Amino acid sequence: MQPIIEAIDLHHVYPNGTHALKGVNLKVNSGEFVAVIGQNGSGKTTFVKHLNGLLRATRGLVRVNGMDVAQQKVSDMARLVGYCFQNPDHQIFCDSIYKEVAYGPKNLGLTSSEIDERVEEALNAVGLIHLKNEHPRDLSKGQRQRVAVAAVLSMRPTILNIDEPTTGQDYRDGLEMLELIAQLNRAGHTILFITHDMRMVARFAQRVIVFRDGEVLLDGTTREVFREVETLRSTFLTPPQITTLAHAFPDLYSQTILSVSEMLDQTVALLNHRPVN
Amino acid sequence: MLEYIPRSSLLHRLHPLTKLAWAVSVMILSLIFNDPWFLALLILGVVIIGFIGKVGKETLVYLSALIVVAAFVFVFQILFRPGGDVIFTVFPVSWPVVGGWLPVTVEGLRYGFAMSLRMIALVSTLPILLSTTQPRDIVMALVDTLHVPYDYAFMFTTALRFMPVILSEVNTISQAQRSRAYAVEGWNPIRKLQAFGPIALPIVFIAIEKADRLGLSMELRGYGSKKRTYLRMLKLGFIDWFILGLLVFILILSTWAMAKGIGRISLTGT
Repeated sequence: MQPIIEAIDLHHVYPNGTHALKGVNLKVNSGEFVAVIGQNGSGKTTFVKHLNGLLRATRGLVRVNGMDVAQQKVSDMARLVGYCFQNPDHQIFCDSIYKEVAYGPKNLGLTSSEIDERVEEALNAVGLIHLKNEHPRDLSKGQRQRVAVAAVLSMRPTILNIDEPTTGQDYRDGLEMLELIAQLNRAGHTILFITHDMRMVARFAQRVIVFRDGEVLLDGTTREVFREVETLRSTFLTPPQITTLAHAFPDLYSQTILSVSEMLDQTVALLNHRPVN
Repeated sequence: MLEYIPRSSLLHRLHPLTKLAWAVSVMILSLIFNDPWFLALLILGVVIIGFIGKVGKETLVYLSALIVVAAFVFVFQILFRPGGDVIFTVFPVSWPVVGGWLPVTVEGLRYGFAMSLRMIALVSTLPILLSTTQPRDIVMALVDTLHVPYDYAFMFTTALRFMPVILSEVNTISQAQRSRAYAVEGWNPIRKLQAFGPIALPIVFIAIEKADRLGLSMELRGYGSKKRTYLRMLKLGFIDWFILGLLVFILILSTWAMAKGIGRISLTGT
């Protein structure tokens, strides 16, 4: 199968001389749910901004859906690659939520009935349809973040990049946001989300890509990556507590544990096999 | 670009007042003279001083950005300056109705050239002043030496300080909107104006929010409660006095030259 995203020896040097990406090679298949993690300044955001051409490769190549992104305009890539920025206030400018979400589809030149349909669909997906006539500034930050996601969703991009969707939100709002993203993933969107929240990674991601100093340090299933405790520590990342706890008892839990319920299952299994005395 | 760059140079060590005086002098000189040669020389001088202050590269980057603006000034002066010897017209004379419109004249060219150079010269010192002087030192020079009320001095430097921040926010906003298929294409002025909203509205909101937060945090740190004192006082040194003297001398010399008509050319007719 052809990967939907492919980066080949991707380098990026910012005008101020910062070498932000130093030869990234990656493939992402259609339908994957990928968490992109790493310290601030490790190159996560720089990498993701190459997928819709917001940043251009200094050296190397990015292909999305087989197309060389360097040959495409950002506004044309928008149909294929959605990018949701960290701070919703960087994009919200309309006086109603409906208009805000309709802005992208309008730019794509759709008819008003198509726009209507897509806005309804997107607002339903984020659970804000009942607020469609409200002013975005009257909403909470968490809700505005949802508006921002809906504003990208309404363009029906195949790939959805979301930059720190849970930062600055309480646990419940963050969880709801990730559940929404997971739902979009089940509906067929390829998801890349940048995050610092390891609990969310453990709970939702199928695959984890770890950046360090502009290079891919680790890349694998969530379980594979969280097993590499030492390597993760080198870039100041720690798996969730439950995973760390299980790692502390390698004789009891041979497999990497990702959640409390996994831990419970394994513990119950262990207890059932305990010799009776 | 208009931020303080900590480097070690003669310019960095000068008293901020000396640098302010220099910037004002360059402005006066660029208004006194209108001969393109004099103005070009003035700009060259500013660039050399930029290199002495080890910010030469940054100065050149800034000036090259200004050239774009200057080019607009140039074109407008040429097109809309009435009278003079016509070289050619933008609409050929042979065309019906519009034929002969927008004549380009010798005087227009000369005037446009002088005005665009003057515009560059007027603001050429800004990047050097700001990249070799810490904002707080500018405030101090204004308040302590020139007795400008602190609130005004603070407003001035805060505006300068926030310029790069706002520019970087504008960049982020533009990226966010382009990700939503925002694109400004073509030359249609109405569409260009409409395209302003998606960038301008978020930045206004963000700027107000930032100002609000800045005001709050200043108050929390006791802004305006008592007369301010300073941890570090700056004194005019020998070299400062020397440069100030030199500036006064140059200004007097230039006024004399102006009276004699040196460095000035007639721009209106031959």
